[in-house]
Amino acid sequence: MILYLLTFLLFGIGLYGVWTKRHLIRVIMGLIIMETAMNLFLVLIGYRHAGVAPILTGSHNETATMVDPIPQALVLTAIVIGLATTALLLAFSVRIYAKYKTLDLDKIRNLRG
Amino acid sequence: MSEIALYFVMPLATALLLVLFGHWIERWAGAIVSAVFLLLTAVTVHLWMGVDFPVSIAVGGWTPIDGVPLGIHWVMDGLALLMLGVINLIGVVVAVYSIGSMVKFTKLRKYYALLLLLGLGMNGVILAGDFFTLYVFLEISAISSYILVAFDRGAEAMEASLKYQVLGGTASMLILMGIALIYRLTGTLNMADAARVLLGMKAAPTVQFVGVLFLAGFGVKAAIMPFHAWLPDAHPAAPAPVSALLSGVVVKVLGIYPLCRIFFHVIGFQGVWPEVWIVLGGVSLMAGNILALAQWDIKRLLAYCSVSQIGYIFLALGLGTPLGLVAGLFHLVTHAVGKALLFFNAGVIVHVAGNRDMRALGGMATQLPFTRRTYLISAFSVAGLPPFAGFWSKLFIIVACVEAGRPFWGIWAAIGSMLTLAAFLKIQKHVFAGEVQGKRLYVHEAVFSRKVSMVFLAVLCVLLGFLAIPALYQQILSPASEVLIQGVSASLEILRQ
Amino acid sequence: MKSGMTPIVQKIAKLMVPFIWVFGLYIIAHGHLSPGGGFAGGVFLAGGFILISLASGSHPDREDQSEGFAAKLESEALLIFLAMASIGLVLKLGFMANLLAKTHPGMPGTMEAGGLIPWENLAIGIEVSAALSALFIALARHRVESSE
Repeated sequence: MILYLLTFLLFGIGLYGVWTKRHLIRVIMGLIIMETAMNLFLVLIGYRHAGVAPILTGSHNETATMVDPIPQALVLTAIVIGLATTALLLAFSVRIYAKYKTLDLDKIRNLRG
Repeated sequence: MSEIALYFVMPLATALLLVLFGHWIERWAGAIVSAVFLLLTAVTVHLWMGVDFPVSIAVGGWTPIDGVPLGIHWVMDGLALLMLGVINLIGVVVAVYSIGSMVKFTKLRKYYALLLLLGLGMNGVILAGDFFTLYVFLEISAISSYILVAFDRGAEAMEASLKYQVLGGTASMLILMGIALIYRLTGTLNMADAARVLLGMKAAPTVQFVGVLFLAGFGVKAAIMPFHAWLPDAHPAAPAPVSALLSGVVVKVLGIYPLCRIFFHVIGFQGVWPEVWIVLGGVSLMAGNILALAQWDIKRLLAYCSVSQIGYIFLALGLGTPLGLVAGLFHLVTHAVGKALLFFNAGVIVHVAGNRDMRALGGMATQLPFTRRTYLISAFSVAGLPPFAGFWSKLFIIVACVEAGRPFWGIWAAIGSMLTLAAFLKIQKHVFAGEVQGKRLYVHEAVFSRKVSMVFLAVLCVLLGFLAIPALYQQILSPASEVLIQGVSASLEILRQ
Repeated sequence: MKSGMTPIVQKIAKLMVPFIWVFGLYIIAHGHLSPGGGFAGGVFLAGGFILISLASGSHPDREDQSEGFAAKLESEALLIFLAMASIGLVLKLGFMANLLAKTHPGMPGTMEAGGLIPWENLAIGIEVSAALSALFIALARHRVESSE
């Protein structure tokens, strides 16, 4: 239970970063922290007490309790999606820096008018 | 039945082939993309005529055990069919328009590949039968749209796209949290199966929290108030065909459709949710209109108008009555067509004048007579004047409000409609009427491909009005609304497939 | 990033990269038997490429070529994956049906056990590695452009 609360706390930290920070890279890092928190939350959901990795190997531990494999597949996909989103955001940061010569969000907003 | 896989394979394969061989076929890229969307529209019509719904296809051939679905399922029912038809049809028109309007860009194959990926993502969202497929295709469309918004790489477009990305990324995280919680509650990711499990549980507070998460997350994608902050920046900055696609289709598919699926089919549309939808819709309706009136940038005005029309759709769907659902879906269709045409017109105007500020334009009626006519058709349709399609859909909404015992919202919607008309008359006055002023970059009318797409949409604006005839809307709209009315029992029906 | 790193670093990087690539291919190939699979293995392969790239410095014309090659490789790998997924469609088994698992089922725990899955893993591994390499080159190249 405490672990779930910690992931929500991590999510809150990420959300705080996105909301309040002025530097673009810090906002992006906040988004990354949110994604990591969500991946952790998903993995935690799959945990079964005293479970082993959910891989069939043909050996004799077939009857052991296995953790739920579905959240692990979800987390794999979510990590890749997070990677794509982050990569795009960073590419945009590079371009915006080239145009505005600053990464301060207040200045970037004001220039547009 | 395996034609459903075409919705996925065709756009993806064509996009990849465009990237590989685009260097040689760049001139034909637009025609190829239009052909792909046309093919998918034809498949939609073919499925509509031939097949009994709902249909559930198991990817990979995993048959359900004891009625519990394993693996990924693609689900097609009346609502999915309607949305697929709308998407692919508007996709054809946008691709045709792009042939004429994107001429000053190089590397157009990337643009068309992104357009196809956006189409793929939207088709996937609609056909998804379980939450994670929905999330994956939602992200595919979202990322494609982020890039498309910033396609001209100007400072403004990049900044608008950045804002869109941060807000959209946060929304996706909220959606992922909702999906994780649903998995924890029900032990399954399949939407129909989750509905079945949730039926047997009490209305736990966690389900309410999940509903709030989804409403916030998909609400950002749907640009309903108070989550609309990205739309007035992103839609003006995008190239004209992209704005048309975004405003007309993407906000509906990525926002309204998943909300309908989740609230009507999984969580169950009772308790506090209808009220919340109605209030959110009503607020967006009026606030969007008022803010639209205050704008001097053409495309920003149209973007705020989109927010208000999405509010109309939420209001109608929130009523929950059969007529309300039909009205909401009808308005979805007419607004998609009308708003796309409005953005096409704005695209011609901006192309000719070189800027978007209405104070610097004027007297275009003599220079762009064709555009003026299509503008009037689309403006009257979206504002709700007879005999165009928008009038009938708004009438349906107002009648549905009164019939559901909420005449206040009916009057509210009517007042909003007058404000929308005022906003469009503002464009008419400052852009088309009056003396010719301001500089022009070109002094010619829209090129042929633009005209073709605009005429097609204008004709649709008129023809869709005929959907008000009960005999017609029962064929097209009622299968969709019935799916929504059945609510959670529709999910149980899907499980039986 | 005009010139690379010192010759010592370059030599060590060139020594390390084959091992990194073999490990990446191992993760891809055993995706159905142990944690990893296409995505993770592809990241390893791309990591090897990035290591070499960082160690040897930037050469703008070669980067141009590499980026184009990586983009094409990525699209081809994804097309191959799509073709494998569509085999089931053609043979009326359902989209993405695992063909080889039906015709050549193997013992669980061996390499043949997955049917079509190891081949799809391979396609995805190549795709991910090409995509990440193209990403790296694009970001690194633009950095050089904008700082001049």
